[in-house]
Amino acid sequence: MIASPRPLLFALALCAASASAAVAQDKGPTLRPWRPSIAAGVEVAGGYPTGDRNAELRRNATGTPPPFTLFRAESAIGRVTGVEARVALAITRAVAVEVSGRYSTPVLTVTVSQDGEHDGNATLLETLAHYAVDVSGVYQLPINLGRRASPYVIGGGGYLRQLHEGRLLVETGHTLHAGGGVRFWLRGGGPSSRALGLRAEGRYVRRAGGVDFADQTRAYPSFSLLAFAGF
Amino acid sequence: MMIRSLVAMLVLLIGLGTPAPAAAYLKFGVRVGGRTVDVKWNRTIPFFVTDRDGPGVTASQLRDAVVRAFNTWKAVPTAAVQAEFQALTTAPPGLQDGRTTFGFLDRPDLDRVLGATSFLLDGTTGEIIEADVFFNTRFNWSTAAAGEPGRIDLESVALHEIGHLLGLGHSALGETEMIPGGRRVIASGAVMFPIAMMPGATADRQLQADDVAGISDLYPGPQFTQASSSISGRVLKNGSGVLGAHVAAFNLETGALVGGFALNAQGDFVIAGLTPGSYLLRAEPLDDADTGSFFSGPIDVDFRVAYAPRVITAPAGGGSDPVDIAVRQK
Repeated sequence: MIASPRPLLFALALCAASASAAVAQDKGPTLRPWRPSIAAGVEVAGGYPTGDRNAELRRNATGTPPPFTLFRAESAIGRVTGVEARVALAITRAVAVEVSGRYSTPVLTVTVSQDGEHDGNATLLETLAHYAVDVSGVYQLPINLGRRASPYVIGGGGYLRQLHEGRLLVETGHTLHAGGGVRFWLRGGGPSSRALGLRAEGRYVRRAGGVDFADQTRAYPSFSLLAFAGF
Repeated sequence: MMIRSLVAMLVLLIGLGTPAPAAAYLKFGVRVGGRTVDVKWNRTIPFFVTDRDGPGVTASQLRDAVVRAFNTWKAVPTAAVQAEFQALTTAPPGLQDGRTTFGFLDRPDLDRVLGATSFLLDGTTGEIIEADVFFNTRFNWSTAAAGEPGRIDLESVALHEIGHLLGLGHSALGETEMIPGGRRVIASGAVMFPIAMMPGATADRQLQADDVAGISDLYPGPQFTQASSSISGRVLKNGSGVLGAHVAAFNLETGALVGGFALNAQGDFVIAGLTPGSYLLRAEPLDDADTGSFFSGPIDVDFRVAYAPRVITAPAGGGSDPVDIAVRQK
């Protein structure tokens, strides 16, 4: 006999309601509805491959022989630390909309191998300028981690521009992200007081477009540490 | 007053003993008033075909193969090549009769030459007045769609020779290996690579990226200049320029290979006709080639293959930041 899932769902809903009630009763930190906040800090974005390709020549043979590989080029963008700034508007005590901007200078590395006329591998570098703007929805979970900290989840999407060295060529793309973090109030956190605090956040980012020689969607982790001020 | 000079070249070689270089397009040039100008046509090319059968190919099949080969060059979207078949003629190629003629010739003295192109130029402008192409009856030819074993594909050879007729020199995008009695071509990256064509092969009926870049640079189509890019720089050895260094640009997104040469003692090179994007550059010597088919004087081949230290960005409608490629002596 298969048990009905309804009792379990009911139990979860009950727990959530209880937690929400606990927040209200404990007067834990919350957002201030219809008040803006700003944040600024650093982001560490993970690296990801940007495509591999062989330099191929046409074989001097009849039929359709496989191409001759002159060399192979493998490319990747490395982990990079950048800066970011955010502006948010709380809609309720738990929900906010946030706009963020990021800037970093990731390094594109191309490794050349399988060249029979070259000693070992060759490594070529290029420093990119990376700009991104995204919009997120933030939900402050009805859970308190002590009296001053509270976790949240975040998700959204954005637009990116990556400029090659010398700013001679621009490549654009878009991103989707989802993640979560913890907001720690150093000051404030009540419904009528200004707030000051820190945020630590991890995100999973899916990026399409931008610098990618294989035109594939790539995913990478991103971690941010921010200071915020609520008004 | 018009000064005319006749420039004849044997540009298509075959056989195991044929020297061939190892990796780009080169344009023919002529010195006019102290500067080098491109050798090219400035009008629609009217061409004739000799009404003479060759081994395995009739005159009408020859005409059809030449027309197809011209159409392949004309179909390059970024170039503006214009040519028009006129008629069959009794005149053989090679006469200075004001007619551009394709045809078979008996040339037993050129036992390794499939065919060749000769020019009549206006020495004051570099404009081509007449160009003739012959195909050597010493070889067995074919125009079969899939090629024929033991026979040389006429359309492939015509495509290469028409490249010369249009003003392109030999490409150096290719690889060879030494074998007893000479050198064998393993693979090539351009129809304009000096061919050691395999009988029965038809792959060289299709242009490659290097050919497209070369013809687009020589006969730019509308918006080509705005849409294309170039990479420039120097090849240096111990701080001095390397004359004759071959530089291949590899597009990291498309995989296209396009080449160029350091054409002066300062080691300066320019590779034009590129699709905008990111490139890596590979400098190599013409050390396994008959350098005489590329340069009239001595060049430096005493260095090892090297890559530019950074990824090169080729912007649309402009040129890259100059890059230096440092090579080391062998």
